[in-house]
Amino acid sequence: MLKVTAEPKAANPDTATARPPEVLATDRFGRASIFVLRMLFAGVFLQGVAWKIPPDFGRDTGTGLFEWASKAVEYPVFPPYSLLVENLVLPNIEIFGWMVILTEGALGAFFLIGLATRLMGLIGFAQSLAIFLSVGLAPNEWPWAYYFMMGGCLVLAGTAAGRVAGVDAVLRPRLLAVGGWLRRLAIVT
Amino acid sequence: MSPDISSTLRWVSGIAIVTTIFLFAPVGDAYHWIEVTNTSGAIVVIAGVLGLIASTGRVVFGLIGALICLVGAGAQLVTLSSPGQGLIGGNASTMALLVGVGLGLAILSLADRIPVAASNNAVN
Repeated sequence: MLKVTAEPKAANPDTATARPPEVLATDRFGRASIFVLRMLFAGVFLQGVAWKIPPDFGRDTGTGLFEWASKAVEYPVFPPYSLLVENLVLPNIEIFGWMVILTEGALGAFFLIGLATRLMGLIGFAQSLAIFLSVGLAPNEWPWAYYFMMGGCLVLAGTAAGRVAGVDAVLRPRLLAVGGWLRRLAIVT
Repeated sequence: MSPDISSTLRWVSGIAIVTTIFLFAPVGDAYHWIEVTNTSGAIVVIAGVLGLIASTGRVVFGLIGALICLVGAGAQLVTLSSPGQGLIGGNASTMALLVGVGLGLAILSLADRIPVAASNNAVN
């Protein structure tokens, strides 16, 4: 699957109809890099859900997701977000905890198989931003780690990483072939 | 089975098998972050092997692999929802792993029923 279907011809500067060089490399190295990045992010998000334990997500013991979400209040990065966490998220951690599990679990699962990677990349960006706003200024945290997570997710979305050795490569041309609302789904691949 | 489906099935199945082996590999605790249980690990590897068989054109094997993965994920969900009532052990990570592999095998096994577009992608 790590194969280009139509290798672009080299641009000829002497002809008016010469194609401009592609901005993104689609050679074997380029595709392999995108594949590796996708696998790394699958691992990041799969690992991320391992320690989020229902039903109370650590509320009773002050550990786990509850403890980490509390850092948004203790070490605010963006005060309105901290207010939201304090008044909405923490009192309803049982609901938000499951939302986090479903979101990060879906990110890990979909990145792993390369499904709906453009959509998942954007969701991953939003989730990484939420994590940064929660713990970005907490002690012993390295904010750049979250900037890299956001950037990496954007790259996965921007390059449609699921089209390399992923389900999107199979799904996209087929979705484009069918009419109606299914065709519109191709935008996420 | 179309060559693109066959190739992607091999990739997804390979990823499933390699991921599980990697998580079980005796190379130190640093790599055991998902805590895959024996049952979950066996399900993913079996599903991966079934996916590889399906890539030769026997689609039913891919569907069986998808089914056991999704049933395993359901069992994990019961485990998570009812602490102490675990069916196969594990955590949300293994559930996500099973969902991913199961969905991948299911979609790829059924993809041949959808017509292919005339247009093409730069990379696929």
